[in-house]
Amino acid sequence: MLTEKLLQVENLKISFSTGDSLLEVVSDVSFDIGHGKTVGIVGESGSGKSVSARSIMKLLENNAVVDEGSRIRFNGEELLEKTDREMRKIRGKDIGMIFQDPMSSLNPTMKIGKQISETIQIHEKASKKEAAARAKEIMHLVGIPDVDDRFNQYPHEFSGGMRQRIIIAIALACSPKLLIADEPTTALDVTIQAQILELLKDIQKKTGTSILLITHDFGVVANMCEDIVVMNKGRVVEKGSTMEIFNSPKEDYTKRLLAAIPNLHAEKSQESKEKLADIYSGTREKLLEVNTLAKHFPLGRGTTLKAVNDISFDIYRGETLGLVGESGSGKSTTGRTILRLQDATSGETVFEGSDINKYKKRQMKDMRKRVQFVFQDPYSSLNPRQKVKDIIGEALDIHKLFPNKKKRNDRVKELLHLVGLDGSFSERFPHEFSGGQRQRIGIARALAVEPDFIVLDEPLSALDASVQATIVELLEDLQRKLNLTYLFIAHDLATVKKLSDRVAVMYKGNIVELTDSEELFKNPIHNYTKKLLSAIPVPDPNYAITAEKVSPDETLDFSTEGQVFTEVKPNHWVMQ
Amino acid sequence: MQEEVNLNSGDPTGKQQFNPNVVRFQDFMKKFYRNKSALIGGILILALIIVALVGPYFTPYAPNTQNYSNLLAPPSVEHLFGTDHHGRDIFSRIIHGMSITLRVGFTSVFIGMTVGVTLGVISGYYGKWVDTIIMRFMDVLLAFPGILLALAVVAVLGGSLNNVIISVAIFSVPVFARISRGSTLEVRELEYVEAVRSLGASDFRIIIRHVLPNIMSPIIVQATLNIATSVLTASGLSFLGMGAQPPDPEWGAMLNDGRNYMWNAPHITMIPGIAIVIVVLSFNVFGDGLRDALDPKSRN
Repeated sequence: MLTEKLLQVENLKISFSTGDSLLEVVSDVSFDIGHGKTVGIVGESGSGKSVSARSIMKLLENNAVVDEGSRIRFNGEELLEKTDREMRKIRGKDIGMIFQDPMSSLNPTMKIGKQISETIQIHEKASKKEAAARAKEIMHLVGIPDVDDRFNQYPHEFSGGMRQRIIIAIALACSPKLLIADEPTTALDVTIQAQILELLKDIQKKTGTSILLITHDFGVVANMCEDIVVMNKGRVVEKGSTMEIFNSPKEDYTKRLLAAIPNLHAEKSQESKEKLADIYSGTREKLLEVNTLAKHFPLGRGTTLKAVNDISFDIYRGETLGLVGESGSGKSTTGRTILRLQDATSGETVFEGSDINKYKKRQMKDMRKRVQFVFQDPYSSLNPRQKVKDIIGEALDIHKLFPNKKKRNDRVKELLHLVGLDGSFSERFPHEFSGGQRQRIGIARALAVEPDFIVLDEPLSALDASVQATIVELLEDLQRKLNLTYLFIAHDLATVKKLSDRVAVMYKGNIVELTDSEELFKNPIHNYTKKLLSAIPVPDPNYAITAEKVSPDETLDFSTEGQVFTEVKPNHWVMQ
Repeated sequence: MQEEVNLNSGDPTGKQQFNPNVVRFQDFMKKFYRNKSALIGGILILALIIVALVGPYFTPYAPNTQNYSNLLAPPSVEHLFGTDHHGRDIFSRIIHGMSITLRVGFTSVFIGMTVGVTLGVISGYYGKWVDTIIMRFMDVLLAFPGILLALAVVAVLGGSLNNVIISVAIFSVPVFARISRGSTLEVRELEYVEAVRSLGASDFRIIIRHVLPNIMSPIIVQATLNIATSVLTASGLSFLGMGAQPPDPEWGAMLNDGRNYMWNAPHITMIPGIAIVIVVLSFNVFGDGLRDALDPKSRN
């Protein structure tokens, strides 16, 4: 019999036992999913969204306790009352799950065809042959080309996006009624993300399965879901239809989250326009000049990886140059090579008139006072055994800037104030802080030596959206106060647009397009830039997905062989 | 935003303020305490050290006083462990020998560890040809069985307790070099090491302040286990007559002394033998327990 709702979660309450005490992580969570519908749970890290999803599958850790008053009804049956044995029959058969990381959720020693057909054989009395045939059908459904050949390949022979398709195929193997997708596209590049989301919609249309989509990205839910559940600190803040949530959010938290989404259509500030005018008229000082810089990594057997391939650009004092590209495009390597954290293979980086690649040890040490680096991961870039004052003060000690500890520590406190933290935090250790606060400490460390130029290597990508917005504000504020120059490396185009005066797009070691950010978003010329822009999920349900349909076997390949970087319009450079 | 609202309130995480080094230590003690055999090993080692330090002042007889009217006497109230072929009190000799044994164990491992860790860290940190040269040399050292290497070194330097310490130290160098090289390779790649480098820190500073503290756990475990091996090797050398010279009450030498009287006075060999076993076992068990307690993978 068909019940009205496929899944009904009522008063879900989950605690983790930590030794002697119970820590409540989810409480009073209720929502339901209709047949063939998609519901999105949106929340920041630590909001309890993943735990809630896992509890449906009963895949919680051993120390998790689900409160007795909780109800999870699936297709008319109470899941919480099921034994482990009964649950195993449901997992994979009636409910499929897609995990975040496509790199680690496949068994590397098993052929992918076998991994898909295995699930079928576990749940259905299918012969090996039947299961294989079914598996091929599903592979076809999720858009894997050359199914017969690919059936016998191992996971490492597939790209990240393809692996995520395989994981979806495994989840779909037994035509589940519900598909739980836990951040299915977070680990993927934006162009691949668009493909995978498109695929999920397509599958839903064909099979009528319901989807529970868990994500932190409002852009993703806007285009995918009928209903949205917003979670924060283990509780449901607001739920309703996607239109309601986006157009008339009721709760402050939801409003704040929505406001934190960078707007692609926002105008650049007057200040930025003046900067650009200075740069283009040649009145602004050139701080850094990169000439045919290359960085190659030997891969062995005579082959090399050309991570950075003869790129040239200038950075002017006081501006922010955004460097965008997908993973593997060489943008981080560029940042590192410019600061000589790695030695360049060839080319020069001219900083105030001299090439830093030719600097001797002494000059290099002096240079380190002038240029700084902010790292991507606020967790691993701070030594866990050092106090904040020693982390920030380290640069001051290295360059012997302060004669005694007292003065040094006073300076550290000043720096903490500068990045919006309390001076008393200097006596604490990194693990006592949240990701956003840690990133502020990382910024304070970079500011300690009063540099002119800072390379920001994806400083926001490990942070929640609302925290990202505050860090962007901080960076803009600091730039104004201290006349800093930034090279801002990122894969998220929206934040790049917000922060940067000019933007360079990198693709496979080359800069394919370089112009001011407004122009780039309005009139992209290179095909790769166009593809990148069209793939950004628009956090607005009123916009239908306009991204052209990309067939999965069409890998993004824009050869740059024999092309030159030319100025096609005034101040708009394109590789062609 | 929402996270940053109470940015400047006293407590960033709502947790109590604590020092991770203290927490780590408490966590370590908790786990260590749960491992009963390791605890016993630790207590035994502590007892052995105390005996080695104060014991010599309280022994009933001097270790080298001979009494030819009471040769090869079996254990009794007067002579707790009996007497040897010169009528010396074995109990007193064992107590005095304790400090020799522990001294050999600790100093040889300390020297071996210092040299080995220095080489290993340099090797791992700088890599390339430095690494190749150092590690190939370590491979050569490792290719010899430990006792054979130690024998060869003592044969060249001449038999004495100090030379035993040096030879045992030499054969424990490669183990430490390997372990510290491996850990250094791991730590070197961490982002905070790169962060410090981008601030302009010298290699020396990075190694001392950022690499060493983070690779100490496996080294401490290895040092503890190595003390057991060193004690065994040193006794072996003395047994062969290459180490402590008579009349020093070294346990290996005592074993050797008792060899000719094994049938009519077995206690002369058995007692130093048991003493060696107890010391070796204590350090081994303690080292295993340390490894379990310090292993981050078993941390819950």
